[in-house]
Amino acid sequence: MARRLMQVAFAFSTASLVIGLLGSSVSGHASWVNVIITGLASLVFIPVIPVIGACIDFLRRKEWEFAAASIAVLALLAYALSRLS
Amino acid sequence: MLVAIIAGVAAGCLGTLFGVGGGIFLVPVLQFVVGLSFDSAAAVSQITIIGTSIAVACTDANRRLANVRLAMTLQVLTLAGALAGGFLLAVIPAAIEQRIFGITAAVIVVVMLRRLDIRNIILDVGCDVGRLGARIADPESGCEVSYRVRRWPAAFAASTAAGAISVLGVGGGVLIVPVLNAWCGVPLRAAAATSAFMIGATAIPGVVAHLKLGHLVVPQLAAAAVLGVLAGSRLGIWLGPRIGIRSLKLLFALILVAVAAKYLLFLGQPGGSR
Repeated sequence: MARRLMQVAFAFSTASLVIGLLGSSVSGHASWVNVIITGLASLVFIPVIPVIGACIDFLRRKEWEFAAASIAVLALLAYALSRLS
Repeated sequence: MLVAIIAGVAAGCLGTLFGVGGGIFLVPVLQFVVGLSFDSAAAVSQITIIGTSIAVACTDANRRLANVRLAMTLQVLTLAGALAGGFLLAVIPAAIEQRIFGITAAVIVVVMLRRLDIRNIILDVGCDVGRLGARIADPESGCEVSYRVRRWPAAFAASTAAGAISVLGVGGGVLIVPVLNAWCGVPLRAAAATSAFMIGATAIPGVVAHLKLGHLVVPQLAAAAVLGVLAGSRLGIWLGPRIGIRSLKLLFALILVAVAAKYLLFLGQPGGSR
């Protein structure tokens, strides 16, 4: 599930980067930069998906110490991403 | 733009072929050829690391080899290191950052030329591998093998340091993989797969720090470099079994020696400042 989601998000961000880059090169209009930024932003969020997947797996298998580690990782990532706002 | 794509392809290809990450090649090209500042080049490189990590982590072979328990344990420290590196980015002078980058390039040369590839496997599948060890399929012995993780403090220290230097646009794998393989008892392929699983998330605090400091000045350039790196990674995976790596490795080592010399010996020269 996490892998499928990751592949879809990766395809979306790659497509956004290609479309944004082509549009920006051909028309030069500033709005294409927003498409590129959308692609880059989605790319930055993708590595969070496998961490969530791993956390769910650890919780299901009741491997509490690793579940705690993955929750700590998610907390650190949330803190890092919150600094963007 | 075209230079960024070509540099991205080369960085992605070389990074995949040698398992050292392409950032060490991409940053100097973006700085000295494209004309970006060191911080802007590092910001672009940092984003390409996320792309490479996802592309490599999605492959089936990598998913089977990655030790997720070990990755999650070390990831807490790499992220703490990366957050600290992100804060230090705002206060450390560019000259020091470039010196650290040069030292990292020199370390990569040594690691690459003396790639240890210690087997670290236990043929008894039924043995106790401990909480962080694992069992993997070994193509050389043709059966399932086990490994245990030893010397945790070394792995913890390397992970924290790898996170801290990752903000300079270098993937942390260059430190994590050799330490896990040489000192901690992890087979090379498992260490590389585990590192690939980790470095994408490790790059996030660095990307955020660069964005906050306004280092990502030309998004188009980042997009071009990311697409180039993705294409280069595919090329590297395809080329790997088809070409003689030895001479290419020496060529890459020479390039890295030049990169290290440029950053360590010629600071203050035009193009060497922020």
